[in-house]
Amino acid sequence: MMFASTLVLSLLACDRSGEEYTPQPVAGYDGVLDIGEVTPVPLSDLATAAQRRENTVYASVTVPRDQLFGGATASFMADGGEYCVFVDPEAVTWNQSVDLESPSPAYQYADNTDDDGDIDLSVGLSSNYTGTPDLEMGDFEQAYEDSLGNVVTVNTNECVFVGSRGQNGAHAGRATPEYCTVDTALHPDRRYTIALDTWSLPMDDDLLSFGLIVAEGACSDLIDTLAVECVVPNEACSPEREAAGDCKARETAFGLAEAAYCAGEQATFCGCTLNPSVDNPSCNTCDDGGRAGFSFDGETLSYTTYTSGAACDGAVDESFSADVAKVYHCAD
Amino acid sequence: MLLLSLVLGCTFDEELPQANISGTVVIPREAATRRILDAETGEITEVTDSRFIGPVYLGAFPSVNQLDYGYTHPETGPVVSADLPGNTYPYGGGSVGRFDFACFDYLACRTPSGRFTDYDDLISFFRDVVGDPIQDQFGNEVDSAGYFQTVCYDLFEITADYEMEWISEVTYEGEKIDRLDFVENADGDFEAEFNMWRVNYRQGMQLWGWMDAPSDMFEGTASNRFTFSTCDPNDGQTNTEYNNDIAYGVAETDLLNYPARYIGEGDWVVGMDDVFTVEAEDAEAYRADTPEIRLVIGEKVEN
Repeated sequence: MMFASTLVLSLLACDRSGEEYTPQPVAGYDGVLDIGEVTPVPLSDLATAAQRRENTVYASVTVPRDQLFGGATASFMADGGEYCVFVDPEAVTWNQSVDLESPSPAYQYADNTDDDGDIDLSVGLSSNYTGTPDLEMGDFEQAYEDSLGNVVTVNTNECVFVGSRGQNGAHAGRATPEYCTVDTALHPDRRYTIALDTWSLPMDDDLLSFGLIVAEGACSDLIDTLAVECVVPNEACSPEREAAGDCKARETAFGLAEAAYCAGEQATFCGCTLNPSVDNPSCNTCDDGGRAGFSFDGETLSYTTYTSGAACDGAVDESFSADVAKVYHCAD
Repeated sequence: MLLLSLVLGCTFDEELPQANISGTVVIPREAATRRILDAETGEITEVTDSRFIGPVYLGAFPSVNQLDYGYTHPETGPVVSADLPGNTYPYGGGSVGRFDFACFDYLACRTPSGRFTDYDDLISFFRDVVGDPIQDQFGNEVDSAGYFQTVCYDLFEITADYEMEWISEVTYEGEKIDRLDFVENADGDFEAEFNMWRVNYRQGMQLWGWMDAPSDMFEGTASNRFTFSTCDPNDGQTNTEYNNDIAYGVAETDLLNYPARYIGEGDWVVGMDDVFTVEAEDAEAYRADTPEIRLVIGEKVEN
C-alpha cells in the first residue's frame, strides 16, 4: 500500500513542470531588443495627447534567451543641450483604495496588477556602454585608475535616480514611468545610449510593452502640466497595432482608463461605492443607473450606465463590449 | 593551554590594509579673525576668536594639485555629468568638529562641536558677536541659560549636558571635561588633534583638507550670518513631536568626494607646501613607525 501510494504520488508529481510559474518567451518578440536611433522631439511637438501618441516610440520585449538580463536599447545624437528621456512601462499602478468606509474617490478604480511590468532606465555616452545592442544588455560602469594605481569603478550613467531615503541608484516601481534630464553640455555631438533593463514582465502575457520619448529640453517642462502617467498615451498598445486591430481588449480598455484618468474623469465614471471588478467582491454592488463604463469618441468621454443583474463573471461577454471598465477587469 | 592561547592571541597581527592616521591640524590666526559690527555705535572691530573656526575636514587622497581650481585641491576622476565635478575618490578621512543641533531651529547648522563651552557662551556669541540673538520657536530671544537647558533636556529627553556634543565644558561623573578642539599655540595660531580612522592605506597618498569658514558677521540678513556651506539646515534628523517641525541640519554626505562643491571664497585649505605625503610602504610599516603629522590649513581661498 505504501509503495503504491508513493508510486502514484511520484507519477502525479511528474505531471507538472512548473513552467506556468515562470515567464515564457513570446514568439515574434525579442528578449533583448535594439530600437535603434531615436530622433529627439521638440517639446512643442508633445503638447497634446495625439502628438505624444505620434511621437512616442512603442516597443515590447519578452523573456530573454539563456537566462540573460533582458531589456531594450536605443540611442540619440546629442548637440550639447538638455534632453528628457522618458519611459513608461505598461500599464498603470494606482493604488486601489481599500477603505470601505470612506474610499478615496481618486482611487476607486480597481487596479489590474497582472498587466503591469517594470523597466529601469539609464542613459550615458554610447562609448561607455558595456552591452551589445540586440544581443546583451550592459551598463555604464567603467574602471578608473587613480595616480597611485588604485582602481575604482565609475558609473557613468547620467540618469541617476535618488531614492526616498536619499540613496543613489533607485528606480521607480511597477508600471511607473521613469525619466531624467540629461545635460549633454560636456559631450556635444556624441551619441548617447538609452538602456532599458527589464525588471519584471506582466504576469498575464509575459510581454512588456512600453513607450519611450526623447525630448529636446528638460523633463520638468514636459511634465509641467501633465501627470507622469499621462505623458505616454496607452503604452500597452502601439498605434500600429491599434490600426491593425491587434490590441487586446484589456489593452484597449487600459488606454481608455488611462485617458479617463488623464482627463480627470476617472473618479466620477462610476457611481458605485467601489467599481465593478471581477477581482472585487463588490462587482455587483453598483446602483442601477450608476456610471459603470465609459468610452471615448475622439476627445469626448461618454458613460454607460449599470443595469441590475449585469454581472461581470470573469469571462469576456460581448454584451459588455461597450462597458470597457468591466472588460478591463475580466480575463482577456 | 589557556595561557598559551592568550599569549599567542596577543601576538596575532591582523595585517589590516587600513591605518588610523592622527596628527595635529593648525589654523592660522588670520583664519580665526573676523570683523564684527557694533550695532549701537556702528563701529567695526577685528576680533580673533577660536569660535570663528568652522568644521575642519581632512582626507587622504591619491594626490593633490593646483591644476583644476584656483586653490589646492585633490586630483579628481572623470567628470561624468555636467552638474558634478570629478570625484576625488578619497581613501578615507575625518573632521575636527561636526555640526550638532543646539536645541533651537534657529541654530541648525550653526553650531560645530568643540567650539562653544556652554549655554551662556553660545547665547553671548550670537548676541554680541554675530549680532543675531538666538530665537526660540516662538520668536522670542533666548537670553537665559536655564531656559536654554530646559528646552534642550525636554527636546532630547536627556538629563545631563555631556549628552550634547556642542557643549564643550561638561562634568561627567564628578569630573570636569574640556571638549574644546582648538587651543592657541605659542605662535598665536590655533591647533587641534585630528584622527582619520581606518584609512585605506596607499603608499604615497597625500593628506589634505580645508576649514569651512562661517559666512560674514555683518553683511546680509542676520540669519545668514555665521552659516556654513557644508551643512544643509533643512535635512538631517527631524522632530515633529507635538507642534515641533524642526530639521536638525546635517553635514553634506559627499564633502570629501566633491570638496569643490562646498569650498568658496573665505574658506581655508591646506596649501601645496603643507600637503603631507605618507611614505611608509604599507599600513603595517606605517603602524610600526608612525610619522608626526602637522597639517597647516594656511591657504585662503580667494574669489
